[in-house]
This record gives sequence, structure tokens and C-alpha cells, in this order.
Amino acid sequence: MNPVTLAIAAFITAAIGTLGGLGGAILLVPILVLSGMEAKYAAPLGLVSVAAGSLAAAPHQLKAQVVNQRLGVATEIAASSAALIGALVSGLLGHALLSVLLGVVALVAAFAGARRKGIRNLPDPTLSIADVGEIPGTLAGVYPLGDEFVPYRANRLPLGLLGMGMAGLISGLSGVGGGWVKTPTASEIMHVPVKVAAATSTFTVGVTAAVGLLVYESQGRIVISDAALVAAAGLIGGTVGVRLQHVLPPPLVRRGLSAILAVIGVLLIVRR
Amino acid sequence: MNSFKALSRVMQVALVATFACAVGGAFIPGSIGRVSGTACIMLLIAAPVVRVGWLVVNWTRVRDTRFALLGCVLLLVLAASGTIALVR
Repeated sequence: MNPVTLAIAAFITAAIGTLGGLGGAILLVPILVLSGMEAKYAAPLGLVSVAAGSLAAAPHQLKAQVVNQRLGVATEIAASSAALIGALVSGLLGHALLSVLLGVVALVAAFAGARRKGIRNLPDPTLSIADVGEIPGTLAGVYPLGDEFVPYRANRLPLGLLGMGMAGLISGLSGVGGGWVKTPTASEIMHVPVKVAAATSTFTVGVTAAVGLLVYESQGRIVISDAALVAAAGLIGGTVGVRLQHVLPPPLVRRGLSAILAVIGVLLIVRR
Repeated sequence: MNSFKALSRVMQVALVATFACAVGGAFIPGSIGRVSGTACIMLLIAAPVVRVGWLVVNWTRVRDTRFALLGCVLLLVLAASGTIALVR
């Protein structure tokens, strides 16, 4: 793939990945493989894109206090542990079966997001900007939505941890980030607002990507010039994605996320 | 409520530094470009780990010990994952 096309692909996938908390590798890696790049070189570039998008989103999301870091840390333990198990047993599942499983998970997540109407977490007029942020000691918080302030609390933690564990397992098995499972899990199972879910997922996929990049770097699988180009484009794309996430209404983000997941699901099943 | 403005500034500095290294790695030929690109990858790896470490310190300071412990557990899981993956 020529450098200009690679940079454009990295920019677009990082922007979409950050906007929906998907991570971007699930979009970039298939594009690179379809363009003729070997999967063993495409996977590290996918993780570079994920890490770049996560870092690009961090300053804005931290300042806006839209990310729930307590939720991210608590759920990432399950995801990272399962990712390790997935990586250790990754040779046991055939590529075709894995693709179909990933495709079905993506379609279920897409359906769950598209099926829901309206906004679950409504603004509370008694709250002010002073209330925005995480509530210490809990998985609850308040996030700003336009000029209003929305309280939320992560529910069904055991089921959510199971979903995050599955995201980690999928990540470890397939080598792509699990953000596209984490965001729907937090949003649809744990009832966290989609913007908070996406922002929190963007934080945690960066953590997972760091470990993967360390391994790829030690194995010499990262082509530095390509990775640097993907990182530069991914940082710009991630910055654009997080700005879009801030201004777009939650139902639009959720529907857009569902549409992207549906495309990913179909692609995974058809491409097996 | 906690403010994460200081962490936001740290991440902003990391973002700018990573972008500068990435541009150098992508466009400067030879060993300088290679060093710059490698520095970019190292920053991408370090940034989220620093962020979790910062959270652990912050939560310990505000006596949110439960989540500070969870942060420590996550750092341990990450260290174990990295070590196991590297030695395989």
C-alpha cells in the first residue's frame, strides 16, 4: 500500500474508532490485508492505530470528564486477563471458525444498539458543572451533555465483567482490539451512557494495545516507517473523532456504531 | 468529584511528543528517522501505563483504596501479560 493511502486509511479508521470507542484495528487490519499486506505486519499497524487514537482522545476526554476511569480499570482487569488466556490458546481455534464467531458477536452487538430507542440516562436539572466527573468509590458519575448534566451508574457488574472478559478473549484470540465488544457491553449490558462507554473503551483499548505493541516490537514485526506514518495519521484521526463524539447526539453515535458493527460482522462472516 | 486536569496536561504533552516523533519517523530517512519512529512506539506503549500509574497514585491520595488496589492489580496483570508474551 502506498504511503498516502496508508495515511488516509489510518486517519479514517482512527477517527471512526475513537468516535465509537471501537479501537479502529477491527477496520484497519482488514483494509490492509485486502490491499495485499501480510496479516503479521498488518496486525501491529492496527494496534499502533488503536494506541494513537486512544492517546489522541485522552486529553480532551479527561478534560471533559466524560471517561469513567474507575469503570475502565475495573473492567480492564477482566479483559486483560482474558486476553492473555486467549493469546495462549489462540492456535486451538481455526481461522474460519474464529471469523464467524467474531462476525456473530458484532451482529448481536449491532442489533442490541440499533433496537434501543431514545436516551436511557436522562439529564438531571438539579445537577451543575460542579457535579461532573466520577463519584469516588463507585462505578457512577455525571457527564455533560450539551448544557445539561446526566447522572449514570454502571449496573449488572458481573454480567458486564463477563462481557469485558469475552472482549479480552476475542482480542487475545484474534489479535484485533476488543473495543468493538467493550463499548456495546458497557452501553447495552451495564447501561452506561454510550458516550461514556465509548470514551472509557477508548481508554482501555490503549492499555491493551500497549502490551500487544511491546510484544510485536520485541518480535521485530513493526515496520517503523509505516508504523510512524500510521501513528501520525491515527493521532490526527483520533483528535477529529473525539471532537465529533463531543458534538454528536448520543442516539446518533449509537446508531452509527450499530451500522459500523453490522458492516464489520458481515465482512467477517463473508471473508472467512 | 476528582479533577483530572493535571493528567490531561500530561497526556497532552505525550500526544504532542508522540506526534513529533511519528512525523520524524515517517518522513526523516536513515537512522534519525528510525530512532524517532521507535521513540514514537515507546511513547504509545508508555502513555497508558503512566496513566494507570497516575490513577493509582491519585486514588491512593484521595483514600479510594478499593480502586487504587484494582489499579495495582491491573498493572500486575499488564506486567504479567507482557512478560509471558515476551518469553513465549
